[in-house]
Amino acid sequence: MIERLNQKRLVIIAVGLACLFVGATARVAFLHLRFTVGAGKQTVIGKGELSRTLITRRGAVIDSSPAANILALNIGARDVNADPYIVVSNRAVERAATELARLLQLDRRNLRELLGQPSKRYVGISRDVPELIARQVSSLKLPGVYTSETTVRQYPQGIFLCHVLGFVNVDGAGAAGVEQRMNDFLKGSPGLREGRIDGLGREIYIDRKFNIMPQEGADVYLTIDQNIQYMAETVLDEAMEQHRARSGWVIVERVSSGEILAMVSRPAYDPNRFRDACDEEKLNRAIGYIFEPGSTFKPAVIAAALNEGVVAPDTVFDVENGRWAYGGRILRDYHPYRRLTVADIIKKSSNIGAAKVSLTLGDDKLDSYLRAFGLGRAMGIDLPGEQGGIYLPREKWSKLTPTRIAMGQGIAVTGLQMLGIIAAIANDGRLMRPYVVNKIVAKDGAMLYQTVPVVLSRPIRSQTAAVMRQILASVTEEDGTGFKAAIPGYRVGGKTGSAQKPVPGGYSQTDYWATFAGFLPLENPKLAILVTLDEPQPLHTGGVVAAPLFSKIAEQAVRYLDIQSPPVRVALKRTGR
Amino acid sequence: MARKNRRLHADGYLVPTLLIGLLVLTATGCLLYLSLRGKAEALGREIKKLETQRTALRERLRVEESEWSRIRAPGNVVKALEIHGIQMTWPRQEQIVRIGAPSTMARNLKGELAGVTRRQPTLGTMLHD
Repeated sequence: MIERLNQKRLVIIAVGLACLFVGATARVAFLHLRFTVGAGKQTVIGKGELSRTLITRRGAVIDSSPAANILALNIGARDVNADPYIVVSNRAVERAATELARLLQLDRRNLRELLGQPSKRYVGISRDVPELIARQVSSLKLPGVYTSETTVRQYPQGIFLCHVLGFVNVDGAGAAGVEQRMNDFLKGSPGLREGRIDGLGREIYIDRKFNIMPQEGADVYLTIDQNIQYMAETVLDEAMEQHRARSGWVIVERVSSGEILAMVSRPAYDPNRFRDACDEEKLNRAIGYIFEPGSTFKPAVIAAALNEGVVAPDTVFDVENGRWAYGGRILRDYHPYRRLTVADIIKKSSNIGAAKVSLTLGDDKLDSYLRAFGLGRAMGIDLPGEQGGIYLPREKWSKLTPTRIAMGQGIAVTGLQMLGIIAAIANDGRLMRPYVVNKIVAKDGAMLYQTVPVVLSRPIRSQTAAVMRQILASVTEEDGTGFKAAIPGYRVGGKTGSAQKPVPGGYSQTDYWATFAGFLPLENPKLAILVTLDEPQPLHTGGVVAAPLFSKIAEQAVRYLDIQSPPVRVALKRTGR
Repeated sequence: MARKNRRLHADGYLVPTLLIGLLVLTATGCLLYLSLRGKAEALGREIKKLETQRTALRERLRVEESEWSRIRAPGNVVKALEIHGIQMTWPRQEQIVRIGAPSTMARNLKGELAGVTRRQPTLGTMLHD
């Protein structure tokens, strides 16, 4: 009896030990042997092994205002993909196509074709799907359909500042604007995770071999101020509608440093939907479109002549009563005058007067001054697509060339170049390199890049610049061509321009570029602003069309930036009692 | 015939002690290993859960930042003001009151005055004399 009992106990113990042994061995085997995994786990490089690229986030683009407004950032999204082999094997083509078409707003027939290809193991269904919709797709548990993590670039304010910001293409690389120029800083670097997965395809945390965290892209801080940009955009949009203009551009620059506070180009596009935009809309006209500046260019020639000492502000020129034959061609003035001083040539915008000053200066000197003012080369702004304009080499000049250049014909500049000339006069003769990126800061707060203002050249002396500022101030006085640019409480300097557009065989009689380029306050200039409307109708002169826009933008900008006009000194007369 | 001493002679197959010992040792080792592994995995799951949570929170922060940026856009602020019938204009120069930094003399005077006000009256002092 006792023997039998002992035998029974032994068997129980043996069986128990065997079970324990088998169970433990099974568990160890489960953990250590390698298993195959299902569809959609592309990150698995072998049986049970995992190698996953950890996606990085592109840095944000932030404006210069104290509120540091975010203008571009990356947010999470998912790509929806499928393994058609599994979809077909599970006879789920019809159901998958129907459900995916409903959730992703896609064509059902196309989806059916896409999913019904058993020879393929991967097809992309939809990219950058919002998380919420992606979750709905996952919850359907469609065989062979899976989602993968990605990020999508978002521009929360739509078309606002689109030409400066640019956009990011489908491969995640910057393809225009700051996004393109600062791509190396913005893009960051992806991380890597290598390890193992269990039989259910889950990562075994304790078996991680590498876990290199992704390095997020640095944040780019612009010189653009969101509020000044908004003022400029609103004013230009209204004017575009009012004057039925074909296009237009505005630049606001801080004269002492070359910082661009606002840059607007119209027509515009929404960078969130850059695929829908045409090239015309994507073009940043402020830097990538060249035009004949017309009379706006006269200050460059007059400043050169004054700086060289060949004329003085009160030197009188015979302006031929508005009609002058030179080099076998007739040159006309918009308003006929008999005699004008150099100062009045600017104020009344006399073509004949400017041409005569140009001839007095001489071709070689004119050429060297204009090159010093930045003609014939790009200004070097930190944006892609900047044009250098058209400026004939001195050797190719004809007898007429200096007379035409003096009135802004026969050359072509970008808005940025034209503003550079005016800003140089406002900045004591120093031509500054314009820039839109102020600094670049890494996620850990380290400063990676800080822009330092650069003086490109100094075409004129500060005394000449001071004289030119006084002359340009007369343009916005009551009898000047740009009187509509005036702002109550401030003295403004500037120049109007109404340039006929070149057409085959000559110049158009109906299509103009209307421009005003100016600065303020006159006594201590802080801001330079350029406004151009392309083909405004029916009014087309810079004084009527562009000058009021300058006034509207400048008036708000000086209030916003708290730029005060120096107090007017009133000479008190001593009165005896 | 002498009776068989059952205590000294067991019938049937006896499992060798060495084998049993080996099995017990292996099973114990396995159990210990599994126990430690289980604990490590539990911690790993917790870490992964927190990693996921952190990612989700960062994502939420980004979405909020994006939304906040959109709301704060000057165009939307202007629209909001219009909805509420608020018209905002820039103040005229003469409407602006500028408060400059206090001069050194004013600061010294302020300091002296502060010293005076901090002085506590002693007992028995007539407060209203």
